[in-house]
Amino acid sequence: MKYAIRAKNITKTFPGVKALTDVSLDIVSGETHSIVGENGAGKSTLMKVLGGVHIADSGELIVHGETTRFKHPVDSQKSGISVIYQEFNLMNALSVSENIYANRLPLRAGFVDKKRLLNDTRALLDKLDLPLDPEIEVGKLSVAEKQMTEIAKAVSLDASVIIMDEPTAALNDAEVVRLFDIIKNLKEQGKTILYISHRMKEIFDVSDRVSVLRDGKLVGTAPLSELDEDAIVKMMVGRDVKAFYRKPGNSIGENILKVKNLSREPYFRNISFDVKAGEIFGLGGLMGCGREEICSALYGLETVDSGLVSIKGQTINLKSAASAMDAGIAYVTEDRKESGIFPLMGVCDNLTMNTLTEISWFGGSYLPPGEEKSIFNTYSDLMKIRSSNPNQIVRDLSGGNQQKAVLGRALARSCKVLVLLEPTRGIDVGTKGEIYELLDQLTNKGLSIILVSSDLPELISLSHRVAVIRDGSVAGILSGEEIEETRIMKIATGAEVCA
Amino acid sequence: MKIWERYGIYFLAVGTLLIFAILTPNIISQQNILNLLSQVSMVAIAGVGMTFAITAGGFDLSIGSQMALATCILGLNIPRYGLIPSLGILLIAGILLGIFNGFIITKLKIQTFVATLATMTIFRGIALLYTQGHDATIYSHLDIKVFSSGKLGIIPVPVLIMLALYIIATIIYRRTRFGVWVRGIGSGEEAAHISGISVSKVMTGVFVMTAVTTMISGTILTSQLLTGNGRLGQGFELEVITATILGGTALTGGKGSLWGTLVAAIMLGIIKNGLNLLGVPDFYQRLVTGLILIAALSINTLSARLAKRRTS
Repeated sequence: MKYAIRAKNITKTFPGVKALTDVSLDIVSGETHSIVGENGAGKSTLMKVLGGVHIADSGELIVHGETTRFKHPVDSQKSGISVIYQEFNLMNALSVSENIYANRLPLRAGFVDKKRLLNDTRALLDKLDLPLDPEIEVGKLSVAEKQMTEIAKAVSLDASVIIMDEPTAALNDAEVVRLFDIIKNLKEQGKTILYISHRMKEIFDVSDRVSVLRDGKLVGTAPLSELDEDAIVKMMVGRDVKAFYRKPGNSIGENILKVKNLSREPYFRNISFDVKAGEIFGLGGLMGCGREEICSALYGLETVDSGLVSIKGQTINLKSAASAMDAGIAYVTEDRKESGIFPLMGVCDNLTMNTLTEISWFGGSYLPPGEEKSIFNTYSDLMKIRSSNPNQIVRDLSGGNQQKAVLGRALARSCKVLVLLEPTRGIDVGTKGEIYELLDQLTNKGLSIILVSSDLPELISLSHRVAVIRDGSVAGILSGEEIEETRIMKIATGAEVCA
Repeated sequence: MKIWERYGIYFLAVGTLLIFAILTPNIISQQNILNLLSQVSMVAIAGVGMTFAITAGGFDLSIGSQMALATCILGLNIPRYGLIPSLGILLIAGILLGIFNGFIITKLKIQTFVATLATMTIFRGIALLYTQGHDATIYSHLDIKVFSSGKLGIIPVPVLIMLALYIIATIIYRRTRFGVWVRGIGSGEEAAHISGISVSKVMTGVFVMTAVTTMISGTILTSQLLTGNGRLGQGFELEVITATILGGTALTGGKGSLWGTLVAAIMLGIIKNGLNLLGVPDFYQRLVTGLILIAALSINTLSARLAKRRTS
């Protein structure tokens, strides 16, 4: 068998963390090989070792039969490996063609030969069947188009191994289908593909073989035909996971939150609903239906045109996030990286951020260290946040632990209603389970939760009731057995109109 | 609003000229315009380098001190070696200053703002040491005068140098690898690095450009004053940065506007010159310049807010 990459006993340690332990992995030439694992399992580190971003502490890397040692991303590129990172490595101010040929722009008499540059790019894009304008500025492209640019760049660099890091994370369904066509095309051209993803369905759609990492170690590699979903999940978490589909508990109390005729043009209008103590109230709907906007209005991030919100019969003022917090509303953003974590601050600081005025003396003039510590202890226990110490900066935690820190921060301030957006976006199965359990605990204590999730099975299995939003209005409220996928989609798309 | 972002400075400049033309018609006399252009040439020429630096995502705060050093180098060397060899020395010095800045930024990995804040002091110190804090006068070496009062036809030499540099710089910006790389680095240094672009070399090149263009501005200043002094050029870097930003070069990097810088420098010159002609004290000029900068930069925010109000 011909191997594209043979990694032997790769170990990589970061201060305080052993990211990879003795990982040995063979990638056969021409195969599509999926690498799965929880966040923090070492997938990204392994990928960055292969991409020349990290240098392994020990172990051997054989690429196309040659023992190599990458000191720099360019070394990895030179040996035919191209990594397409989630955040991309494109230069937004440059055009598609300038990005693809950045380090080998064709010259004519010392000047950039634009004609040849465009022709070369067009030929390349045609070969890959990518519908891109070579002259357009990359900053103006959609995520999917940027990804196509990265793929074209990889092929133009004559990469024989293309590594994709969660390529579908930010794509819509149509774009995913398109990406799979591209992957198929690449495969036909003999490229080896390393595919990293969380999404089980995709792994079954694209891979020839699957490798599972857990806690920095390789659990196993097997042909896809020998695996099923349960087997992979079991390998990933090393234990049985609570079933994805579950029923919410039944301990629902009296009305807590009342929203009446809330409007904010042009995003939503006449939104009315109640949420009871201990209830998870889901907001369903298609992208752009206005549910995120409703949530930010409830937290005072945007001012509404009209409408009333009350908690336990008391009308509350939603002029700012601070006043919403005072009224007992907590909020967890859908965009952890941009508006959730304070990346360079420690776990402890992240957890106490919303509570500083409450725990400090003399109206914020002195912060007793003991109080901070106790909040840290309470919430890192409750949420099972895995950090090496209270001051470890949050940027260095895995996505799941970052999410827990954001959630913990919102909960540390006493609240009656939690507005929770995308609680498990981009985090692994194991942490997902932990977050679901935590939500159970919280609702048992009587917390009301407003949930938005683009993961439909998650929304369905967590919510007691689901309000489906269509074009900024409540198109229907489902409860109990009525909550199911097709029904929600029908209402969301307008195929079914509720009375 | 795209039109504003791109051509706003041209509208502003024409508007300013019109206002002053009404208030003081003298401003549009041929003689005054040529004078005005000569006066702005120093800021505009150093603006070429600064536009590249800001486009690459950097900053060069050290050019005011570099300019002082340039006058000292000419002031001390012209009496000894004559004009042409002194200009050669100046060119080499400029390249070395740029490489020094580049070294600190790319090898010691210090942010451009902080690095050039440090070299601003260092270069000033060198200039003062070099002349022992005294004036280095060259009153008897009038051949250097060509750089300020020389003319080709009716066009002053500094204006010619300025225009020539802008044409060359535009070609570099648009049509060379270096130009593409500068824009690439400005829009994503990490991405540029991974794309195989030698970020250190290009960045060093950019700082050599700011230094060399500043040496040219320094030559014009020396030619006007016939004196070298380590205290000259204080605040020059801020004038140049103001013109560059006003001209539409994005502070975030990636997008530069050379001709915008030139027009902005001219506009700032019109304001200075116009207020002078009107007899308004210098204090007000500073006030007006600052207000215009805020106005120009806030127009994007304001127009976005207006557009929002209209839709809702």
